[in-house]
Amino acid sequence: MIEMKNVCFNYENGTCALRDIDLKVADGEFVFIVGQSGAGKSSLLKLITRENVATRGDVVINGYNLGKMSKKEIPSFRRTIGMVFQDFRLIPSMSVFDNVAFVLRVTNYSNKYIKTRVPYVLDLVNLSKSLNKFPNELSGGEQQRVAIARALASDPPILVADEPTGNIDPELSMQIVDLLVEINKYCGTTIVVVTHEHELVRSFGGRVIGIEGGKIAFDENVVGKISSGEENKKVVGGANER
Amino acid sequence: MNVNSLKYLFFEGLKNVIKNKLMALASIGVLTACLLAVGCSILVTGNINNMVVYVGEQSTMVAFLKNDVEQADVDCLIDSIESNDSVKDAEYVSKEQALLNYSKRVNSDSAIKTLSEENILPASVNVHIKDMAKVDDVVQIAQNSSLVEHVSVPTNVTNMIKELGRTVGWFGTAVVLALILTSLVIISNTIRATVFARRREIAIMKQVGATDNFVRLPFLVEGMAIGVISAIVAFVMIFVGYEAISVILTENSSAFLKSMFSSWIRFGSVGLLVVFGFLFGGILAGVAGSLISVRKYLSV
Repeated sequence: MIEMKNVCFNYENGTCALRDIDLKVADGEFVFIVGQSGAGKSSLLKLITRENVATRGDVVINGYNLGKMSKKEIPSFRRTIGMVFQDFRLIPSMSVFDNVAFVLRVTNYSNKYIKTRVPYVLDLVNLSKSLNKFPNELSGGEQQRVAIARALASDPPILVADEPTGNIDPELSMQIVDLLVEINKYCGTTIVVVTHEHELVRSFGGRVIGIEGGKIAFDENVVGKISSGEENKKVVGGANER
Repeated sequence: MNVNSLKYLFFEGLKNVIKNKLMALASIGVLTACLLAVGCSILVTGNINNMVVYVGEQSTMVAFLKNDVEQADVDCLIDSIESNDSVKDAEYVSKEQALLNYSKRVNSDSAIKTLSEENILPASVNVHIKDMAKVDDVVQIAQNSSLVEHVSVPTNVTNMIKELGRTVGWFGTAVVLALILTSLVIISNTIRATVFARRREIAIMKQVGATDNFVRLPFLVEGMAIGVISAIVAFVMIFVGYEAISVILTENSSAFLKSMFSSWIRFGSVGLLVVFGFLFGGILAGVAGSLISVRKYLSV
């Protein structure tokens, strides 16, 4: 569960990046966050991953109140969130197996579990044959799938993807989002995808939150692969209580 | 953190040395050079100090005695002189012995013949001084004695040795301190560059939920490994170099220099100290450098 109440975020130089954000993402939802460059998407994401702390308001994720959380609690909070980045952020000196296993090692899982879990998640993303390859031996799409496998490895309740298709071609982009939809459907993982690719959003549909000038401009259900559009409703500039 | 994780992080640290071999080599090179520079300057300073002390020991103060002094009184005087800590030993030289020594030195028959008819050379007490810096105390003891006619001290040599000893001491300390300081700056910059190259890796670790200690530990092990390797390389180089220089200096120098080199520090006597000093310095620099450099990138 992601919940933001009356959240504002200002940068150190005083620039206001986010204003009056009220947002609730329920467990098991699939949400697109869209907006142009500089709209505040990344700032919103950084609040979710606790890279930034809200200047005002409450951010509560998976039971953690991020504003009131101590520094020591950050690692355990981050283990409840799987992150996928536009630039993949794989560790180049580690094999595919080790990149995925790393998340589990951080969480003190036993070697025995790691040896069974890593091949399983790599199989989910169709990369079971690339266990021993290194990131530079894989295509962009494959690297992103490794990143998704890494995000899924510790079975987090929430997966956040920041422009996951930004560095790959359109056909592969559809495959990556298809994969995320599958994960949402079969694993029940809450998925938040930040993107500026409207084509992709139109194709998949579902809940789409638009950010403009640091505020929520709309929060609506769009007809597409994910949603039939029956629950379609539009809320501009305010909270969406679902 | 459980044993499994500790084991994994320890081996990860060692693997990182191999994975990042270029940067590791740069760190090892710099650290080895710094340890060598500090080690060499300590050995050179130590050796110069030893030589100064050795030259000082060769200096002799002579207390010329009045005529017709009793042997028992001379023995008393020698005892009081030898009771001073700065004195190595004191020996009585009779008038006859003085004549014999003189004749050996001048090797002139006529002079010896003249002196043999009437020995005008006085008896004396020759005092070997350990620490020329404190020779004034010994002179005072001799001058206070009623047996002593006159005291002769090689003042110029004494002053020069005092001055040299002081200068070597200060200069050596300053050089060693400056080298340690320079080394720390170079080492920390080299390790900082190594860590900077891997800042993304650290950020990724933090983003997937690694604790600060989980990120630090492999860097700590890596720093330690770099320190140990550097210490071993520096030790082997300094050992081989020092022994080679010792052989060259002792085999190809004059009798005077050979006698000077008798005070040369034997590597065997300081070998363990050098090993532990290098290991301590290497590990400290490696670990501290790594941890300080990593800290900057942990705030993700």
